[in-house]
Amino acid sequence: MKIKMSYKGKLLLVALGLMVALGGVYWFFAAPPSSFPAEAELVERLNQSFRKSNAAKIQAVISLDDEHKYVPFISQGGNYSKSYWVWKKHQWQVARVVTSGAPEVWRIDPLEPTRDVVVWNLDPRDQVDHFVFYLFRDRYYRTSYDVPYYYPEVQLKSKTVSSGEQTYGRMAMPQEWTLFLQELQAASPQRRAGGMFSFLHTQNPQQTGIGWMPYDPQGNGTTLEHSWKGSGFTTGGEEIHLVELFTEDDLK
Amino acid sequence: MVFDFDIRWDVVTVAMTVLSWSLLAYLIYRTYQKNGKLGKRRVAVITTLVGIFSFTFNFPLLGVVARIPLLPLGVWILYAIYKQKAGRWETYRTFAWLGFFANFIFIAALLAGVWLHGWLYPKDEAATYMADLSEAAIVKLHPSAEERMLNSKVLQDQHDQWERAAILNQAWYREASPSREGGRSVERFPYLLAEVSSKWGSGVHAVIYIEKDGKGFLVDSGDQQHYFRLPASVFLEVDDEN
Repeated sequence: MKIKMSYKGKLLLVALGLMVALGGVYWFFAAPPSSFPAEAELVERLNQSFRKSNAAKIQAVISLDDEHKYVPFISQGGNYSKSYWVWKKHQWQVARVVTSGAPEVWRIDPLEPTRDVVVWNLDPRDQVDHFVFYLFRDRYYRTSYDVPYYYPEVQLKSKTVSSGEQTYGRMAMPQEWTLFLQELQAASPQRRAGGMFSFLHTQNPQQTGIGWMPYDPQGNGTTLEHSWKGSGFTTGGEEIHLVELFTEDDLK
Repeated sequence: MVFDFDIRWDVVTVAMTVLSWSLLAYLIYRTYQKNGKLGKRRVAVITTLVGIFSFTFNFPLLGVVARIPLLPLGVWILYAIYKQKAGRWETYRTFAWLGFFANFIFIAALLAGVWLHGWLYPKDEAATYMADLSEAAIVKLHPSAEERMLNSKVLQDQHDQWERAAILNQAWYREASPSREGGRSVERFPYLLAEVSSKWGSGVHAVIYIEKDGKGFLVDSGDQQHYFRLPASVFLEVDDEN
């Protein structure tokens, strides 16, 4: 009788231990986010992650979803900067910080390219009045083992975005774009966990890219002086890429 | 094993998986009966499952990768464990080898599946990719294209008139690119045919581009491309044709 009880007891202990371990794993990896840090703490964390950010003033906290936030800020040197925050391993981490404001695309979900978000923080000295984004794919062809492939050229425009009151902003993928992106994704044999297909269209000509065309108040295409200059860093894991600057020649 | 989470699931893969595992279950049952019901049922099942484990090597066959077993690691592990108690190995030996043999059942199921899938869903037929066109719509992909609407009736009426044609990839590429003097490029396939369902259960999905004359369809299923043409344009008639 005594042996039987102790065996049961051991079993219970193991079960309990397992539950605690599983609970710990859940807490670490999957528990929903706690509240986002306040401004002062954000500034401190930014400067800790990347000393050159010299964050001075947080402009806004923009929620892209529950676990991804875009925080534009101004550095002490007057640079209009961008910071990307992600909830990982039970803490808000700085995924990327850069002291320039040119638009970038953030793939917040590697399995869902339709959820990509474009963010920016344009330096007012560049005097960008309005701008347009383009989803594009270069025309491409190849022949593999005598089998021909052709990839039609694609260029889809977004609605015109006016520089409003704020220097910063964000844009989700327009509906017309998502229709095409969804089709691409459904057909792609690389549609598997881990988001393995490359975002970099230059290395992978069949992939789509995003470009933009900024205009000055006179309606001319403008090249930016200030929104490019800056430095930054990205921690591993987050896919954030620059939006290509288009010129008139790039418009099809 | 037939399980491969990288491959999109389809009716044939599901059926073959169910069939091969059912066959294995049946074989386990029959072996157990024949052996005079020696030993415990549960142990027999687990033994078989462990016996499946092998050192395999991937061999491409018929367009898929077959995992051909080379070394029966599971059987060896079981031998090492069972030999420690007298008589154990002799009781369960058949099940261990049955497990190893199961690898070949899976390979056979895989190949049968490839054949069946090719028979049910021929990769070179338009109907495989464009089975349900009732919800189809056009999305303009290139600024050089005219605004066009889909004439759904014309498309569906021609559903059995698809003709295969050659993909002249290099020629199309050269024609489209602007000349040296400049000028805009004109894309040959500037429309997307969206909301189209492939044949039910095929597990196939293709991106379908429509040619600017409304009669050509470039079907891209990811690893393959096919070009089909119809006699009549699927665009709605526009009066101000130039």
